[in-house]
Amino acid sequence: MLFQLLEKLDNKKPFEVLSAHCDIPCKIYDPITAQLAVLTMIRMVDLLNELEEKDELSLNDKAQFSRLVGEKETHGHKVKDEIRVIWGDYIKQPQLEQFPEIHELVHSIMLTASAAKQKIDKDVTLKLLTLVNRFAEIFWITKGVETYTAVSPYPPAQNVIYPKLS
Amino acid sequence: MSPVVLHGAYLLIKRRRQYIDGDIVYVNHAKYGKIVKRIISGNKLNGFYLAGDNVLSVSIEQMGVVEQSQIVGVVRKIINPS
Repeated sequence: MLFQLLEKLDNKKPFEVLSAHCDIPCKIYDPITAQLAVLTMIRMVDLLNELEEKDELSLNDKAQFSRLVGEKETHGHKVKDEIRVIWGDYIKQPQLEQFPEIHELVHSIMLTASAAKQKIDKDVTLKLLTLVNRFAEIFWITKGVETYTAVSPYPPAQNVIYPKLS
Repeated sequence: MSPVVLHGAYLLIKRRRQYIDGDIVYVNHAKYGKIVKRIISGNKLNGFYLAGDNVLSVSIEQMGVVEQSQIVGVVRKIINPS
């Protein structure tokens, strides 16, 4: 209703017009951003678990705790955003026909990312990585690019699906 | 800025003395004109890096460093088409 009211005002006395969409269909998509965001979440959980082992938390430890949780939250959002954009903008009928599981997979990623944000639970973040890796694998297959699995050469040293680019 | 700001949305803009990461701001950009983007990082001394929410949007590199003086205000309210 507020929108309609503003629209009427706008028609009578136009507001300033801004651009928010420099969205050019540049066709640049890559699930690695989502994969890195999940790895970050896993790493944050590892560091949080290290903090938990301390008998008492200093002021710095408490500040660190707050930062780790904050980063885990931020990267949880990032995973969801990145996957949603590829799913919404790149995945179309041909990819869906090739992989009918995509909708369900993306929904699982959304739910699992939320669960990973809500708790400090390594198992949930690892489950999220498995799902996001599967999404990445599907993405690269639809692009005609082979993939391979390798352990990320940095913490948290987990299996990641990478494209085999020559 | 999809999906946060939809095409045709009305925005309530407020001028601020300080802007922080995550703020959606109205910027007077030399190349892109009057544009709405999100602050990724930066401060008023060294300038800000901005980008759109959508991966198809202009990148941080394309936007370049934005000075505080180029920022008109922060988006306080978004009224998307209903």
